[in-house]
Amino acid sequence: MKRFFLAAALVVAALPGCGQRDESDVMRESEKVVAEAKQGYSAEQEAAKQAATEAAPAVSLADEFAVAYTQAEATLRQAREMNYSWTTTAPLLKAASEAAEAGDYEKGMSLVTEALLQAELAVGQATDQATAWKQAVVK
Amino acid sequence: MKKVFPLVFAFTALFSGQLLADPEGDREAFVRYFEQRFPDVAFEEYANGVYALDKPAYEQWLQIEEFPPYELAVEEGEQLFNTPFANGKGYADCFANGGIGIRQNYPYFDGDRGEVVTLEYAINLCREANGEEPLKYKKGPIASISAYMASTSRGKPFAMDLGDDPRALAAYNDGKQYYYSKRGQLNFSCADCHVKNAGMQIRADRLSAGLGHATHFPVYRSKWGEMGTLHRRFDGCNKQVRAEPLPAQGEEYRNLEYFLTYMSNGMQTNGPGARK
Repeated sequence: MKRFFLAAALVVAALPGCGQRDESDVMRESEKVVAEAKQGYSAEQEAAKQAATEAAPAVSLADEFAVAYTQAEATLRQAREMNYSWTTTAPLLKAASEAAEAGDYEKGMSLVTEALLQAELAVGQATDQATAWKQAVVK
Repeated sequence: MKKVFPLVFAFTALFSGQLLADPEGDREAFVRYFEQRFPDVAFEEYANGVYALDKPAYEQWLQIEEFPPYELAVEEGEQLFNTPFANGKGYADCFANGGIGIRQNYPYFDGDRGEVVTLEYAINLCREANGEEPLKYKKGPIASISAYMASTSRGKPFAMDLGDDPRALAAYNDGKQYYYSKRGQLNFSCADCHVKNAGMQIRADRLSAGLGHATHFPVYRSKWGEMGTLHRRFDGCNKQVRAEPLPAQGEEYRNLEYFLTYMSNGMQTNGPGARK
């Protein structure tokens, strides 16, 4: 970023009649140079990202689903070990599995993401309640 | 001293929660809460559950009690109770006083087993000790046998004594923690409904008070159309807040029953009961 401002300052300084222009003109011109330089920088970044994506091996939605399903299953297992699993989570996992088996990985991903969220919330609930319950005790 | 101090520290850390616990103080606070909340309801009335808080429902319930829906289960339970096992022995051989008039003694903490023993748990311990298959815990024959045994104890007060065993206190505290912990997708604890919101409407029903909850089980519930045990109700309550229920007569539910019954210590047993 410092290079851009320096470039802008140099460009402005090199402009003819620089010493005779007022401050607002100088500011406007330097801001224009900086904005153009930033655009170029963003385009560079974008190009680099594109190149990296093209170089990396493609991950199929099926593979993504498998990873997500394993994670959701493991988190549900953890919630069960803590005695805090919800009744709504296992049916979501089952529906996700059925969707994936039918080839609808988009639906599968949607369901398994929800299942994972619920399992994580249940684990969080167990952790919170391990101490929070004391505040509710009748005194 | 260098060796003793860490041991003392560890012992204190392990048991300090239990040593500082005061079940009788908890119970008195529990009773006081409901006395203040419902000043017109007598202590003994809480054994009638929601009918202590809902006058119209109470009148209907009295009419139901003229021809109690649990009578058939009591008759069946008496027959099962008196049917000998394959080895010639029977339930009467497993229980004090032949199993008659002892409902108020359960649950208790068994020092030898190191765990809470409820009446239904004891029934199956008896069966297994005599070579019989255990019964399922939520309904069916076990509810009938428990109903018969409860019917022989009507009017006897619960007189639980946690004693000095720190394991008993730990079981009590475990049940207390369960009672007050929010759970399930709906994030409710037992106390949310049966302490904080006791007497309030929940859809078409009124929430009963936690005080007196354990006195009238097993119960004939109109919703079930049959008898069910206390742990069947725990199961249903957990599902209603969208929490996966735990095993009936597992350690967690037995500890919960231990805590819940202690909160009703001094109240008379009045099972089996009929409820909506």
